[in-house]
Amino acid sequence: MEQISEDEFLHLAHLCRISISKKKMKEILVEFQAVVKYVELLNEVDTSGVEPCNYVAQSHSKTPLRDDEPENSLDKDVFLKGTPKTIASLVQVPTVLRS
Amino acid sequence: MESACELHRKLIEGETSAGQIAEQLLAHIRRIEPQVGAFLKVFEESLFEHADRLDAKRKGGELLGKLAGVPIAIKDNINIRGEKTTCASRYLENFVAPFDATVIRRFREEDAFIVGKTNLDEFAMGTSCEYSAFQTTKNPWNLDLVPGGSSGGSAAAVASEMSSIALGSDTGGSIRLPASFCNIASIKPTYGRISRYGLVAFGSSLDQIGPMAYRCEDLERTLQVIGTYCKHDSTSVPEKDFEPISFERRFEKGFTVGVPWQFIEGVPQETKEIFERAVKTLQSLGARIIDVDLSILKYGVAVYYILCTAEASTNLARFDGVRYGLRSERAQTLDELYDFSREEGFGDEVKRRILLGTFVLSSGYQDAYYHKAQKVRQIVINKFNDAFSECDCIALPTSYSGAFTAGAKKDPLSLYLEDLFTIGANLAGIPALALQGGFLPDGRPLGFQLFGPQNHDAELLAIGKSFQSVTDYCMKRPKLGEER
Amino acid sequence: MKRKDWEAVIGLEIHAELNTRSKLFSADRNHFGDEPNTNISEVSVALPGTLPVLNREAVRKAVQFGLAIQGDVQLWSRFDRKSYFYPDSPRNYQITQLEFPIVKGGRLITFVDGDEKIFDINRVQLEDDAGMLKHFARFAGVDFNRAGVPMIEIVSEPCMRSAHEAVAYARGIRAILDYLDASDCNMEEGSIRFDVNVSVRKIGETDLRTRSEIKNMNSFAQLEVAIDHEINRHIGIYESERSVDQETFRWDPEAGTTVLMRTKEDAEDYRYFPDPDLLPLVLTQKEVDAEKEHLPELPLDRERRFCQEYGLAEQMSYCLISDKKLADYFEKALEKCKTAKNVANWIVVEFAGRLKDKGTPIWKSGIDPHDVGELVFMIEQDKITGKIAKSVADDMVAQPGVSPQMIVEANPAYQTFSDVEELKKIVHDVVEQNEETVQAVRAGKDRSFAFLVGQVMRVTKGSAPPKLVNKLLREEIGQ
Repeated sequence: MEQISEDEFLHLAHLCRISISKKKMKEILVEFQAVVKYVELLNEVDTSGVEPCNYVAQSHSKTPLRDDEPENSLDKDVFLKGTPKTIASLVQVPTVLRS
Repeated sequence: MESACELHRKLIEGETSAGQIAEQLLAHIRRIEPQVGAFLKVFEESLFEHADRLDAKRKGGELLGKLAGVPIAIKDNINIRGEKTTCASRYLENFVAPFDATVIRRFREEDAFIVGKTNLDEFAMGTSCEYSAFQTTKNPWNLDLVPGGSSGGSAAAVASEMSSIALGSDTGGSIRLPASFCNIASIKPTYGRISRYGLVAFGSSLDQIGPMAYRCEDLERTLQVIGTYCKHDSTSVPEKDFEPISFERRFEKGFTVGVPWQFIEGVPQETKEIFERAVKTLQSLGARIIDVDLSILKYGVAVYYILCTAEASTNLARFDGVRYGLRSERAQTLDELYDFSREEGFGDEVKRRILLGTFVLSSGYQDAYYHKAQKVRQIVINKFNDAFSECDCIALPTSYSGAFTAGAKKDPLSLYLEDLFTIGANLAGIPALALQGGFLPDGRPLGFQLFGPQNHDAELLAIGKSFQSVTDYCMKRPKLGEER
Repeated sequence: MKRKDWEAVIGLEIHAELNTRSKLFSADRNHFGDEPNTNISEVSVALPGTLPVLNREAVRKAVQFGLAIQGDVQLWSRFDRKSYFYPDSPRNYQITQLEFPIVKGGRLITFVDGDEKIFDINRVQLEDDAGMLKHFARFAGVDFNRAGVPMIEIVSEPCMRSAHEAVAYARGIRAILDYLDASDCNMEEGSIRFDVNVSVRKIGETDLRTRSEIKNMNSFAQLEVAIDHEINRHIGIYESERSVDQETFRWDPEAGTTVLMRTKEDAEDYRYFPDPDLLPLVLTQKEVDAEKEHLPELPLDRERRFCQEYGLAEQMSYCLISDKKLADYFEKALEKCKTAKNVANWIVVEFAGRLKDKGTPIWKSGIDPHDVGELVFMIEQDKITGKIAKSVADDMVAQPGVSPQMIVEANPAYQTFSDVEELKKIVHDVVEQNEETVQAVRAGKDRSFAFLVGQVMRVTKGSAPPKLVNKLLREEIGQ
């Protein structure tokens, strides 16, 4: 597995909205590479013919269904009180480029 | 201090009052907490209020709940309505939960005393409790040492008797490792046994809330209350609520314990001695010891750190500065809102894990990392199934060695490897009981674990109770004198 | 400006909100138009510690839709997390179905310019909607009422070859949703939205060329314009020896042009993986079969029934059934008058034309369908002439809810000449005053007869029943 480049790492950071300063970049990248290298240990395991495990519970294998009964359990004022910035009854955010 | 069950009995039978319990508890906390630093918040006022109500209830002849008067501390990643859930993170420093976690609702129904919120590694990501953004928790057995993580605060609170029971959460070993370091017992139940509704998610397919206490009967009592079906959690086990069983009846013909000798080969001599002594004790209880092959678990940490970080990277995406939590004052644009809020809100370990999790899911890498890890997870499950076809439970150490000095381990990878023995249970969704195993020559506690097949939580606890009846480790308490 | 050697390849992704009472994964109310941030719960705004639980009714509606399009309803499907950051997305991941959707395959049979056409469908998946972003001058505001509302995304094969076909397909899908009462299908409210993928290729080519995407269209008219615009743009690019880039646009209806949203490089990496908080969605064949039993009459079936039962032409049937409320209105009107062709014509041509300016469909106009039927019946019974009926119709539109009987009663000008004696007198006068024309009639000239009829009508201001006028005239002339 090749080393991840700084550009790739920056792209990764943007994908998950974790900003990394130029100062910290090298240090974090080195740590990151070390962990990635460690987990590559898995290449030693022969997984041919093995299905990936998506669901671990053995006693129940289907998602339960909920009856279609409406209930607004969160009060608007309680919600907005905990919001950093509001405008009228809306949650305010900086301008978004129209998408 | 007596066990929670014993305390409860005393209250029901009038040998003590809720008010007395509260008073004594808070006096003890005031003495001890400054040294240990287990709590992020203690609910002094509400504790007295609750005590008054409970005593009134008892005088009025009303039936008291299964946990009436029992002090329970709650890890601060579990929601209590009207109280902050900080997850020991700057991001949620001021977040007040508007709803109770299901486990809290169940505790309220059974009249438990909710003592306060305990410290943890930020967002439950850590093995030493050193990643908390707010404070350091010390190991009550030796204040220079870490209590273990991520449920370090809960472990320390119980170990130093500032609470009878505590709730932690376990994703890779986070209640069992601190239990081992602090000489208490804990159980990570079968995946889905306890509702995750109200637990701040870290690794959704791995997380379980679990009780921590000195005695197994207290763990049992707690599971009776919170080991029930919850309709708000789609992964909740749908049938058969938890019911304790009797060791004598269940294992009257003895039981088989599998030990993965090869896997645990490299542990230090002193760890080996403690573990082997525990195994001998199990034999004295009727256990037949066999060898089982769990060598696959040497890949456990790698699998775990791929899967839990992948899930965590999405579970923590909601912390974006928009609807609640920290919003950076510097942010001018939307991108800055996200970047700066998370930058200021998250500690380094959290950022590391989100980056790794995003990486293993990203296009071009998902197959090699995420899918590979899921396949190895399936092999782990298969190997456990194979082992359990030959034995009732599996015994192994909890940790490589005992608690280490605060600040001693800086390298993230070395901290990840602390989870080596605990992780298998989370990967397979099986119950894991962490029991006291004794003490190292320098006085540090060291525990061991029992794993069982899914939904065999009661069997493990039955063995645990039996083990505790013939050993005295669970009776030992740390010497925490007056303030030094 | 279509170049004949090029072929358009069009696919549509239709997002339809299901009209359940509560949201897909949480119990808060699914309802449009309420005060912002009132239809919310801890789960839908993604507070820490919350978990999704699937809505049974949403599953049922998705299954019904799958059956209605003759798709393969999957007994096992699962949910995936699709990650991207946006303020209207509380979790910053959507829960959707990528690899294993609830329905695979399917087809839509509908009419395009009178010809029956079959369009293939690739899949139908369940997913949750995001909240709504409201744009202001210097900031934006988010309303989470819509966050978590259940949707089905219906993905067609790239089987449409013209904008016209694409619109017919979109209308057809909308009609099915309407008939199933699975969605409000309200384009203005956003409960149905279209994303269209357009590419072109030389006729004879089998591979697909680069496509561009236009997102969030919510009008059939604009959909057609936008697709034609893209087709022409692609052709223009290829013909000038350049290549088409993979881009995503939104459509600006005023400018009549696409606006770039993102390029291929900007494209998000959604990092799909199975959602661990939800177990697989498992259905039994029995449950699916039970839904099949309870399917209501679907648009195509109704269209065929209208042709057979009422003898309507295909075009007319298709027009009536396209909107269930219109078809229901028509059948209600038939309770008062059995002549389906006439009733259909009055609804689809006469009244529709009069309501066009108001922009109101007839079933929303306040005009009772029985009244429309009654009107047609009155014409057939010779109680009023066709000409008067048109005026009555004008009045019915102006005063919705007033019956034609009342309108006619209130207005003497509408009343047919009931006084036969008076009419005989008028006929007699006309014949007397038009001797030459009468001679012509006697000579066999039909046009002259029509002239005489016209004269009588002029005196009676059109209110004399034509049949009676003809009869009396013939009698008077002596034929």
